[in-house]
Amino acid sequence: MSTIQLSDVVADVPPLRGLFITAMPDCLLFDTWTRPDETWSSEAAASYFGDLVRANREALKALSAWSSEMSVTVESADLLLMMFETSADFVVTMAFDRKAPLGMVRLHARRILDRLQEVLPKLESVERPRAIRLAEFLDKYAPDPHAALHRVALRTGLGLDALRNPSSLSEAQTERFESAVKDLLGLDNLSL
Amino acid sequence: MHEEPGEGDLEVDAAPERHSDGTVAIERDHGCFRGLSWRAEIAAGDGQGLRARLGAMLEDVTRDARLIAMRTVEGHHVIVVPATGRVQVRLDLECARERRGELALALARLVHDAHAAG
Amino acid sequence: MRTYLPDHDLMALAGVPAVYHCHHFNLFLDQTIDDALGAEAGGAVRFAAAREAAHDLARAVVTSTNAVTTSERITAVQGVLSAMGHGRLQIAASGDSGSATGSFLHYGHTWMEKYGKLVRRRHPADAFAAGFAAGAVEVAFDLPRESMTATETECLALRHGHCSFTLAGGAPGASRPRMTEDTARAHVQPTFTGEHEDKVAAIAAGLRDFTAGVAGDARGLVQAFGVYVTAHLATYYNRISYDAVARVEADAPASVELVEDLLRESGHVCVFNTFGGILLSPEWEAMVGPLTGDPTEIIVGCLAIARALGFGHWTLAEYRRGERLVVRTPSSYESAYYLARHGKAKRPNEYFLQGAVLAIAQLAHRVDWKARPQLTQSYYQQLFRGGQLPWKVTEPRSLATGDSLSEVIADRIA
Repeated sequence: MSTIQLSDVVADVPPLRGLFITAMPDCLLFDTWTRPDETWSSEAAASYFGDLVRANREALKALSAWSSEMSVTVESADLLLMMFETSADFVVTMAFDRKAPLGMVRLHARRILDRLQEVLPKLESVERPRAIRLAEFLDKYAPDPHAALHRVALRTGLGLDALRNPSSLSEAQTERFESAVKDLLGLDNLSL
Repeated sequence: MHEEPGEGDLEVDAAPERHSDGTVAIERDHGCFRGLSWRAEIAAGDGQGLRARLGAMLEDVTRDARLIAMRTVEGHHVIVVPATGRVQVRLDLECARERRGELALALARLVHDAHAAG
Repeated sequence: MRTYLPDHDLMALAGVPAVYHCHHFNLFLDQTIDDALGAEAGGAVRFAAAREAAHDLARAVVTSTNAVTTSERITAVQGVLSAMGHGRLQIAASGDSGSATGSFLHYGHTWMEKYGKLVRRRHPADAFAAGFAAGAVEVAFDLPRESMTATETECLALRHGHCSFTLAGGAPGASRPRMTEDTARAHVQPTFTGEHEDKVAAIAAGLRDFTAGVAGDARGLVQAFGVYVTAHLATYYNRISYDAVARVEADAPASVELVEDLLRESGHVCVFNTFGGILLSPEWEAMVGPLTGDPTEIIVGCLAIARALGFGHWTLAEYRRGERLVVRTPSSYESAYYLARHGKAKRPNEYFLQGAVLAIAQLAHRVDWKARPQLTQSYYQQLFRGGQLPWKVTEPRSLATGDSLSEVIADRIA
């Protein structure tokens, strides 16, 4: 977790309901600010925002339409989300009140990004074992997540204990694990 | 048919939702799929008069007097548990999605007025 | 067409063993079979089981309706499938070949409802409907039992607009003894009662009256209590479960515990959602009264629901609030099948019963009924995801192993 003062960064932005900074590539919450009355789970949200931006990046690359200026905007019934990949290290997500005019939101977003550029550090990321990231991905996206590890164990023959400690999996076991995760989710590739 | 297959909606509406016209209030009931099942309350009673009054306006499909069941010509159902005052409005699948809350409120209002007339 | 074995509460449709189950159970069980055997072999096992059970039901239906011509027979059987809540199937066959199309088929439709936003499915979902179509054609054309094949070429769950099947004749399968209500009757033990028997029996009878009027809607689906309900063929469930366990035992014995855990979970998810949905329904409120939240009330209610749904004569043997729940039964649809087809089991193996009793303990103790909870997927995950559950289940005695009753115990973990 960071030591930067997000309350300073978000000062004078009335329609902002939350700010989430996701550390990449692991999609972990780095820092967050939300209005006092919000009850969001910042950890979970930050993780999904990271995945969303990553998937968007890959999709745009597949269409040969990606640029580093890419952003993602999501409009829901009461929120307007804007996501930015500010560097290889961070995804910044701003949650605005849906009623705020889009032009004003963009202005606020640019101002917040400028302020953040000055305070966000350069991270030295350590690549975590693929099996751990697989386990986290499965937990996040599997249907019936309470039973997901059982299902993978049954499909792969890998023991439950081994799957609960994925860092101990060998390369070959990790491949089996990954193959089962792909099958469970119906995906050809995993965006880890 | 409005109930298209394969849209991948989660099967139960999780978010609470309420509608009110100031007198009658409805909220999504347990097991509400796509805004089709709504709950309202009236005062508890023996239900006999209510059943007769509702039956004058709707088709009475009650099978057990403990549970008044009425059907509209459009195929919506109104269920009343007289002993507790619980009202459940079950909308027909064909009903347009954007009108479901409004329709359910109108049917709850019908029950409320029939009850108040007793 | 629907009957119950007196004092044993095993259900049959036209003399063929049947039970009511919800889409949560149906989907999770099918998924477990595919997890255990792989999608291809799992699909084959599910198809074969459906075809066997459907043939017996179709034969009974055409006999009881005196359907003589092939079109009369197919029409009658298609009608039964829809009335059972499995969607609509249109079969066009000419002896040993043909096709079928399905709309709102229970498995494909509900899979999309439950999982469509989460997962992209790679294999068709309607092996049951495929087997049903094959069994229906066998009976319509007086073909040998287990001789038709059916392949699902399009499926709602694969995001096609409807489901399609091709049908073809083949060599008859291995002869298996028919599973009938007489088979079930031959494999129950003398009945007995439990605590709160009068209340359990009265509620069960009331629920049976209510469910007698339940039939498929315009789609051929039964949507009630917050779930999709099916009247289903017990032989289908039993054959796929026990055949899968047997294959895992033979090929990967270390994984037997895993498949058994998942079979239990299918019972758990079913009882939690379906029984919970019934308890929260206006029908329940009218028949029994509003829920007070007393655990005993929930347990008694669940035992009555189990009887009404045709699971067996579940009785309350012992209950210590917050500590222990003991359920006994002289009959279960699982043990009746297992004993008839496989003889005595080496270990207790009524997986549905085990998962169900665990779920009853959880419903009784972990749900705030007064708050009128929505039994959603997220609520389920909130209660059961991560870490050890506060209750565990054991089955020290089992009809399947030759005991005079099945006894399942849910104990609070200290």
